[in-house]
Amino acid sequence: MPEEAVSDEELMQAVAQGNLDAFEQLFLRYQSAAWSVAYRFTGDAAEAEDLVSDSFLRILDAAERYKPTASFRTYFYRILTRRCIDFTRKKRPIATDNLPPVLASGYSQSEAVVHQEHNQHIQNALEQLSEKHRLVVVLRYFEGFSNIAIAEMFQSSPKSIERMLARARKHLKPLLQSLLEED
Amino acid sequence: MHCNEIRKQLLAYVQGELTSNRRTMLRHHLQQCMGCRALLAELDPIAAAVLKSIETPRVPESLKRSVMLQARMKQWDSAEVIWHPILWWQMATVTMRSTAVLMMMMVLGLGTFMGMSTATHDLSDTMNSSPSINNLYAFSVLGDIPDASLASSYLNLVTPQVQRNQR
Repeated sequence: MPEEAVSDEELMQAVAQGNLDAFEQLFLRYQSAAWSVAYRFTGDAAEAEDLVSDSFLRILDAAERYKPTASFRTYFYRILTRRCIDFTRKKRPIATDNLPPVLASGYSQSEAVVHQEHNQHIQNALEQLSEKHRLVVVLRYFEGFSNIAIAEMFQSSPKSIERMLARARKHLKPLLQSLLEED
Repeated sequence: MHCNEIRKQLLAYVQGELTSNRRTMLRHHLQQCMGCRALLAELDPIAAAVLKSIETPRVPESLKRSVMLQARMKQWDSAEVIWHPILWWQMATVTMRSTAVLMMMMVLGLGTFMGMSTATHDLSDTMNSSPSINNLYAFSVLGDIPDASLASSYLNLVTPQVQRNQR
């Protein structure tokens, strides 16, 4: 309760004063979300780990310049998405042939195999998209953000995000058709 | 949650307008219910397809350790960057500064006391051995200087001729 009572913005101001405990609190609050985006974006656990580390360290570097004009959440995702896009420009093409297993609880061994195949299928389809389109799809379909929230992260307009999503959907639909037909 | 309730929220789901908890509950239901999933597929086929693998692996245990270690190292690095040749002492805490000042005062005090004590001792010896205060050769510290050295030349300049002859 006391930890949650402190807002992200207050924690960020403490980080600016050199308080690493506050930084750790922010890390614990956002690590799962950051990991999820980075993993879906890269399709590689090691690269996702690098991306998440790098994003949090950027936040630490920028803490002194941080002004709580927007919510920390938006600020955080803005840094993370920028790092994702920079990352693909610098790095080799993503290898999606060897994805780590998604160990969701409650699956039998055969279900886990099917689940892993679906995971691989979806990741391969995402790989066909441009980095911006892929990121928008991850933020919308995996993280559940609205157009307005994504637009704030990209410092763009909701209409522009909708156009990107429309193009991504058009591209993805035939690639994911076989998954839909299984039902 | 009942199917009717879920179906009312499908549009908000595909538009990303649900809270995190509500979204999780909805996804859980959609993964189990083929009828609701079919409706979702009509509304947004991509949303229905990704439901097949919506979970991501757990965050690695090593991630927190690695990030916090790098954060600490960064803090140390940035402390080195702001080091200033004149204002470096501002990096020290008040306790550290106070201790340093106290130690400096103790060293200076001890040095002054020992210097005064030695000077008084040497001077009294000099006064006893020679009535003239100009007899600088009587100071033990200047007594053993070699001939033709800089100190010797200085003493020759400042010491009267008579005393030089006596030496």
